[in-house]
Amino acid sequence: MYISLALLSVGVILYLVDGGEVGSVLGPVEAIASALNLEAEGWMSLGIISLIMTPLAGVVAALAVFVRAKELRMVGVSLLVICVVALAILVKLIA
Amino acid sequence: MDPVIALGIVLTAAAAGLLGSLLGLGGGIIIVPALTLLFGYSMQEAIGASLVAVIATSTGSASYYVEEGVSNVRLGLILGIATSLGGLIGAMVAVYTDQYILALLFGFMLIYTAYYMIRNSDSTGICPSGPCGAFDLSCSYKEENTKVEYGVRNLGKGMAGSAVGGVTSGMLGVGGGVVNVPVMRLWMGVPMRAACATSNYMIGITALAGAIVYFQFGMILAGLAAVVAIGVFCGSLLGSRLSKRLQGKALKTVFSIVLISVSILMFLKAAGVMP
Repeated sequence: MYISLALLSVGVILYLVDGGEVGSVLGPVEAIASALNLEAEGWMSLGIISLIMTPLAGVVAALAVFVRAKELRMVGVSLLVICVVALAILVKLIA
Repeated sequence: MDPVIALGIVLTAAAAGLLGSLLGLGGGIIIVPALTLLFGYSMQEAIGASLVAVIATSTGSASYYVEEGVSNVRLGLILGIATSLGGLIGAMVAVYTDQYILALLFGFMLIYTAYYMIRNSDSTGICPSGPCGAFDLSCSYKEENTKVEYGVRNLGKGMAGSAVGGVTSGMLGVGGGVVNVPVMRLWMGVPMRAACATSNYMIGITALAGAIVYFQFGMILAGLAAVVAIGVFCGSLLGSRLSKRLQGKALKTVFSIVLISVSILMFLKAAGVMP
């Protein structure tokens, strides 16, 4: 969460210093390349992608706890949530 | 984006985070109308930024409630299947829906939220501990040195209700708590505090599915989402500190009137009277 906010803040500061055009959030690979070029869009995109993925990290952590506790039903539930997220990632291809 | 406009959006988002935190709402209910009516963004762009903000506010408070043991993580994950699927479907529908129709639906959502805030929904009994179908979702937490123990009933009905909350979230960019909390409280017998904390945990998962769809369709503007997320986060931090000092009831009544006024503006936008 704080990492995401730090990335977003760097992006906003770069934007205020350099200006330039900032469009839609870039894909992860493009965002890293753009951030390495010290472009505001890249830093903002990295911040937003990491922020969006934070709840998923929470579900993965819960999955690890349930696997260790051998709670098979809850392992299945956690995997189902991850499957829905995966479906959301694939939805553009399906559409 | 002009720096002055960016500052205006940060301040608006901070106000949304502050009010949302004080009133127990996600900031989306304020951010979406503000971005469309005040700053001229399309409904889809506003909803995309709002979903990012919802994740920002939920992540911060959800981790606190999970550590305190107030969130029922098992229940949150089970309902999370329905809400995230609903969020995914809602976002897909919104991507292909005319923004005037979305404005109309958002207007109705504002009226429902105003009604939700002024009514008293805490009159149903708490479900006693015990298994609920194949799952034992019984949980406990401490409240003023007393241990509150409860179980969960009507899991299927609760999942159906949560799916509606998910669709609302993905389609309109709100957290879905205004649907999830009454579903857990009234249908499933979960105590109010646990229902709010569990809803907070769930809305991050719900908004995640919706946000991924908006991201893939290029509808999350990096600059807009960045300033909104920063503003909302700062506002909700301040709100969580102020919430212990302020009386909520009068604030809720005033805010309900504001929501109804904003809903009228959204209806005017839907009718094409407002830009």
